[in-house]
Amino acid sequence: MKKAKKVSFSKERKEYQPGQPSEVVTDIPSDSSDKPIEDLWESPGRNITDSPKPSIFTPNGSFVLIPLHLLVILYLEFTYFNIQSNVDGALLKGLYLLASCQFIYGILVTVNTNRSRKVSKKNKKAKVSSSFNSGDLLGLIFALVLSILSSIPLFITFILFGAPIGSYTLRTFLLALHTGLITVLPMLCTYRLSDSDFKVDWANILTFQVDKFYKNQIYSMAIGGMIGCWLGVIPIPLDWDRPWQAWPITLLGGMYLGGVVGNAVGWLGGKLPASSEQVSE
Amino acid sequence: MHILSILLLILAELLSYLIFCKGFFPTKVLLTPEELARFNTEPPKGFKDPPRQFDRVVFMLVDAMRADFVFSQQSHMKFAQQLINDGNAIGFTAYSNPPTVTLPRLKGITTGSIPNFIDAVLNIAEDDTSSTLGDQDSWVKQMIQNNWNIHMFGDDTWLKLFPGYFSKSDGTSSFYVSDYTIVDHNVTRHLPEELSDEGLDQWNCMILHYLGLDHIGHKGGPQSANMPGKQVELDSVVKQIFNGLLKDDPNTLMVLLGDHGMNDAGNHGGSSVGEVSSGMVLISSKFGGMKKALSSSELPLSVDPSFNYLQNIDQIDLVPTLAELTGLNVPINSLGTFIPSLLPLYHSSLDRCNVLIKNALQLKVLLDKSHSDNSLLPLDHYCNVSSEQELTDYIVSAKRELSETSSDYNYHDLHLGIALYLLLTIISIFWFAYHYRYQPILGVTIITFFITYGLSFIGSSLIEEEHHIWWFFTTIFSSYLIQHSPTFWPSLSLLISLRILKAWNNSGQKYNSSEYLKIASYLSSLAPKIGPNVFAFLLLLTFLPFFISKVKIHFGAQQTLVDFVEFVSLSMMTFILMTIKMLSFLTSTYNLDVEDTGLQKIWLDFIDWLRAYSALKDFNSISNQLFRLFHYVWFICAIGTFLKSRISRSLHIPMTIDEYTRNILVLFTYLSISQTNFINVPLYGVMYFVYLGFNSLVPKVSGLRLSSYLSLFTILLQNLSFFQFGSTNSLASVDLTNSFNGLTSYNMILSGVLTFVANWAAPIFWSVVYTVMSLDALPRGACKWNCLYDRMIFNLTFYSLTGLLLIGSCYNLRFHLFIWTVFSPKLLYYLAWLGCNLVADFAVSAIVIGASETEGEVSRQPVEEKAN
Ligand SMILES: [Zn+2]
Ligand SMILES: [Zn+2]
Repeated sequence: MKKAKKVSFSKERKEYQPGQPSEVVTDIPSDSSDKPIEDLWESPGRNITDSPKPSIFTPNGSFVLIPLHLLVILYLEFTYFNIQSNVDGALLKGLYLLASCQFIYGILVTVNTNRSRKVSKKNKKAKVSSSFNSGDLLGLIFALVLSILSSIPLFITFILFGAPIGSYTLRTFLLALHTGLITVLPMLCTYRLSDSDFKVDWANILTFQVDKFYKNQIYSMAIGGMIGCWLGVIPIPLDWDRPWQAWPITLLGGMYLGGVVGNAVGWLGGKLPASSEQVSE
Repeated sequence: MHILSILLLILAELLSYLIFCKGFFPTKVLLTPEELARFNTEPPKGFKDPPRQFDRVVFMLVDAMRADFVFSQQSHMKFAQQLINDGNAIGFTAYSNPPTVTLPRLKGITTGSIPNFIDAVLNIAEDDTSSTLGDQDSWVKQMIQNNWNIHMFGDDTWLKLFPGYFSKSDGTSSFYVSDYTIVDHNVTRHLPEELSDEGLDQWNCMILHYLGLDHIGHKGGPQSANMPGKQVELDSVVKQIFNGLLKDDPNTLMVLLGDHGMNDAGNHGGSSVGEVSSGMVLISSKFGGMKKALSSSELPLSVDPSFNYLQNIDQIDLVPTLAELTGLNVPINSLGTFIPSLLPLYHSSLDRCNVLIKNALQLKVLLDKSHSDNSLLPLDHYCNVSSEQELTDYIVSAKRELSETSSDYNYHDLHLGIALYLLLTIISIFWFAYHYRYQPILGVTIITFFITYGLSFIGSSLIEEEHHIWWFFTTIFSSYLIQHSPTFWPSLSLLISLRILKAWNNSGQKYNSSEYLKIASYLSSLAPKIGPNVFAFLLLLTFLPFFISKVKIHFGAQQTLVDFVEFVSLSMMTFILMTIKMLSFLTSTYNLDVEDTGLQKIWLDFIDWLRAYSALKDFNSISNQLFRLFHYVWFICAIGTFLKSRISRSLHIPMTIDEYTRNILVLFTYLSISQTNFINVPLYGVMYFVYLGFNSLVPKVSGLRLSSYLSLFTILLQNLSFFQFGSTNSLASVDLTNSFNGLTSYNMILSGVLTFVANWAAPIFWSVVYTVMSLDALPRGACKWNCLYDRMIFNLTFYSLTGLLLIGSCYNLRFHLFIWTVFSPKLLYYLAWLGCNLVADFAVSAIVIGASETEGEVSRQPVEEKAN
């Protein structure tokens, strides 16, 4: 255990003057590199702070990209697949439907990303097409595979954050698959493996160092899905004794709704003034 | 000094909370014989005791017999149903007043009074002698006074309640919950003798208490596969008694009843409809001559989820009914009313009126007393004593009024408590706002958290499942920390150790089932071949980090005599503690009395060695002796630790603050461990890793911001680990296994302290961790009292805001169905948390900080200036 805490109690509180920035921890990571005590920052993702500004590419928002199909799938889960009586079966059937829908959605995201990259002024990449070519298709399939694989770390995360161990393992894993398809797949279509700044982008994403996340429709969709999933645990302990309080129905619902809401917030945020100029800065 | 005014505020807060509790839990005052004489009024003219109907009673109590177990289509008690259909018996759904636990219910069934919440609390604390009903009036006592001979077979709770009352008894301990055959066989085997001609001369009343059905319920719920067979068995007992005795003797009454019901999980104690709906059947061949008054439906009845089978009565109504039918006086504190459907047993209208008048006179004494009415008007002033209807109305309204006043609140105290608490809350919020005036966002976030938590007191299920709330907040806080300084290993250490902490015991009152992984129960279910080895390994792992963290400072340094003494005493404490915990693991997990324990030889040798060394046979006295030894060593170490810094300063030997805090951490961790249930001891290792993970993740800030992070973390972990140690907000989860450690004789104060430390061991640990962390982070020259000052403002605001919301919620919901089962226990738990705040968070921290010698001693002035 490192005992390198250079933190201190102030000798006297008088030194806090109004307006004086006494501490540097802010809610959104500040873009300057004035992080204190550099030597403590030793994780692999740490080198991103070496670059002066954690900035990732923000795709243009589009109404078409609001994932309304998620609402339909969620509705079908409750009616057609009857998730309240057969949780595992409904999760599995919904997963097939979700995978196909997200594949089509992935095409939309890819096309939109291509278009925004072309529009963006400071575009470094020459090889950009606004349409959907075979390379994109390959990338999309690869993204699908990757997002399915991402369910493993997501599953571990769920467990660490309190999902039951030793029971309902299948359900939790199916939930992780749903989460992967909703959050990771569109992100992989935006920040592609083939991009040269893939590593930096994903290091920023995974450490939540995203500039103006509320303008980034795809990123805020992922965040919204996660937050919705998290908030979904709240109804479970209540004593209403309803079938939909079973694990993990509320988490699933929360994630779907959170994804749609997050996406819509990103779309609205993108429409705010001064957004068009700073897209890729 | 501001620390002192904070202490005053904490004490004032505790005081106003106590005032509220005093109004909320009024102690019930029972009627004394003197008062009986004082409030007695003349009976109306022409009143004489109604003739007795029965001179022999068979009282068959089937523990947890829910109404549907007798009356519904799913019941297998066909003979009892046939008796009701034939008119030889009358069935009721009897309402059992919560708490639906056997002991309070037995009190209710025999005395006719409604137990209040404090009774239930006292039942936990009481030792056996004080829970008797020796001085309270009951039909059992009335029978004895009228020279009845009572035989009792079954649950030995009766023997505790009525010591020396029974001329013949065979008590069964209800302790062996897993057995449901022998407990009942022990009762039934007496029947042939008791029902024989010679046997019948010996008794007038026979009490049978069957426990098997309750045990089946606890094990497998009401739908258990063993339930039908048990009902058939009980039914055959009814048949045996009816055919052997009642059929030919119309002057014998048989009462078949359950003391309470059970919920769908087979447990009881609360106030759900299944738990309060017990079955009751009165059987006598005399009833055959009575017009079947309310025989509307033939049994069995279809299953009714709201448990309205046949007539609904209160269970306590049995008390005056039984007393009058057998010609006894009605027990003086009974609130019951005569069961109307038995009135037709008396053929003349005059007798029927006299029955009701006798009941009314008894209730009128209680009523006059509760009105403190000195005019004492006779009964005929209130109703027409020759009208059955008016008399019935009178006793029913008297019962209603009395049962309401018996759970009455003292509104003067309630309002005073709330007002004082509100005042203190306002003061502390202003102080908090002033303190956080340069950190407004942080302050508002903290207050929001307090209020969010406090709002959870509105919902009964949120109180029952409070551990979810703390887990939720803890994960939010850890994600915040990780997001701000995402270092990989500390984050992983924090998350994994928190998850292990959560998985160790599942807390909560409802979903605490075995389908979720519980490491603690997994450990105790390991086979005797490997279980002790695994546990011993975990114990070693737990003590190792603490041991190393203290010893490693001395590595390489020049050793002094003091260091050597310290090392020896530390090793001694570690060794004693490991021995104690290992011993209690072995004794509680395995049966060591049998020949083939299945344990490995090393553990058998371990036990033999302990027995030889202590020259004692009994494991309890061995561990008690070890505890005494531990307490001596611990006190010496504690005094040494506190004095050492003083001494080393006067000798000019440099002693770092680091060394001091290590000593303190180890000292208090060992104390907490000694009072912790053995199965939870490995959690201290886990919590140590939580502490390490947090310590490297906490943002690199200083001053108030840092102490806010530390305080927030402390309060989250205090509560989270409190619940994950297996505690809940139900009184049932109070752990009494460590209440008598090292005590040679019963001492209420000392064992109270030990009980508190045993149940709040984890919060005490975290409180000390806070002090250690903040002293470690204290820069040279800073005032050490700042550590305490910041934390106490934080805690004061937390406890005043959430406490206000709690007492407000309890006041608002004081007529709620769950007020006695959910909200009142929470109120008491919260009182203990306030005590924890005063003792552990304030007093212990103050002592630890006060005894520390830092260079910051000189700079005491700034605090006082600052706060002005
Ligand atoms: Zn019982
Ligand atoms: Zn029971």
